[in-house]
Amino acid sequence: MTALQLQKATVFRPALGIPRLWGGRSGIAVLESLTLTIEQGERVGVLGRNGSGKTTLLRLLAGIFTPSLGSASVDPDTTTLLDAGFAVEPWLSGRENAISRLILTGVPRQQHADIICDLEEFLELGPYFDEPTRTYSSGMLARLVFGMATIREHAVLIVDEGFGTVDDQFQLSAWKRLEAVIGSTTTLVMASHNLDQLRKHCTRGILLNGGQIVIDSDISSVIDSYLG
Amino acid sequence: MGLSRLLSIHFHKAPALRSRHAVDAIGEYRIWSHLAIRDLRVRYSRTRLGPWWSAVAQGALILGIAIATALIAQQPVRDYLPRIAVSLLVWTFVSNIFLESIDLFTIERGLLLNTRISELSLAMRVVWRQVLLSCYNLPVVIVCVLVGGAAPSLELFLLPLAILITSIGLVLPSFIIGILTLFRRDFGQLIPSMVQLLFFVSPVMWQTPSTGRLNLLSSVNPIAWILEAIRELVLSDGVTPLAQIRWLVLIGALAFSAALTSPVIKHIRLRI
Repeated sequence: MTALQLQKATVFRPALGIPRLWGGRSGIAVLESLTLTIEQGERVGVLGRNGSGKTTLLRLLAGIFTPSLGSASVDPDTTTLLDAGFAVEPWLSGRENAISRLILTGVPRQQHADIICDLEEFLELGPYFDEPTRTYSSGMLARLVFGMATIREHAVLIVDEGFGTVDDQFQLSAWKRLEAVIGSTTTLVMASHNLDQLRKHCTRGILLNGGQIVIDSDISSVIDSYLG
Repeated sequence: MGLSRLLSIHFHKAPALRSRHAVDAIGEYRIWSHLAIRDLRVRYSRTRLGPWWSAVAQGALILGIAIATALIAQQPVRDYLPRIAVSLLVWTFVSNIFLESIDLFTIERGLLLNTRISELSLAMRVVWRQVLLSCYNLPVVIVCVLVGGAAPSLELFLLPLAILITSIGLVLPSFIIGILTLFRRDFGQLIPSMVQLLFFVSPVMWQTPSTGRLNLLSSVNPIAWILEAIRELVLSDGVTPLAQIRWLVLIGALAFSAALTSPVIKHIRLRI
């Protein structure tokens, strides 16, 4: 069964100003005519140099971006780990920010109490969990945003490179949690420059260059091509 | 940069009215109402009165302007209180929506790039935030109306409906301002001046005469229509057939604007 599908999807980044908003073809093509099908249960690694279109592809697959041309079909259960720190409000406490994140990501209200309890235990922030986040050190803030991002279960998960960067002390437990989240998800699409991580979690690989898929094969072949 | 370039919009195909965005945004009521409440909590955090500061500010403004107007006209302050109170309530509501829509999309960059939240929900959040603030301001206005001796009519019960229509109607202008300022930052500089200008050309401080240029000005100004319709309801003059026609024209204009802006929506996130 298909989880994510792109049909000749092209994404233009609109040029400065308002020209040609009502037309499809305007601005710079970030992705060009991509056709891609990801079946449920597949674990796909996305590789490519900086600016090759990896993050745009992930946002397209997550249904965050709409293709300028072509079409995208997205599983409604798709969730993302792209930018962990979005919508963190410094004047609200860690607990209030976590509840806010649950509402913003559409988690049913009945599940909030259990999730927050679990998060509080994982974060080990003690009384600071109820203090405004503007009083947090950068390490505490990193813990909070990481914990909030990995707060829920994912059926189809899309992970961007650089996600999960936290301080050394918290690194081990953060990795364990991230590995558990990635391990428990059914379908995975992951962009990373960490080739060991891709080898461990993915079976299929996609190499992007200049907004186009250059290779779509098993992960080992794609990594070899990327390195070669 | 010429005005023609500033407004250079090319139509490639006739835009179709797509209701999906509106349906999505209505379905996300939990999200935009949460964001609006969160905004108010953040805005008034660590203050003793919280959002009641808005009511205090509104009361001080009403009283100050009513006194100044009464002194100029050499009439009792009570004569001016009801009209100025209702006018300023509506004007504050409308103008704050316009001004706070300038950074509608840029302020929530993270939310738009990490979730599938509908772009229209962000406009709903701005409007809902102002609806909530107006609820805090309303007791001050009611006191002013009662002190001024204005007798409420049965049509006052239509007020929530008028506010609802106005709120729904203002979602789209808020959205359009957000789009314009996102794609051309020049509009962000223009809009505060335009709102200030709108204050002077709308009958907030003055009453529309039955004839003359000011009457003509009010008859083509949608803000004047909203102001007069709500004043008519609150200050018991009754809703005139002209006001009813104006509401219908406003609803039609909004539907047309919705058709025009709908195809732009998919470009918003990519532009961010």
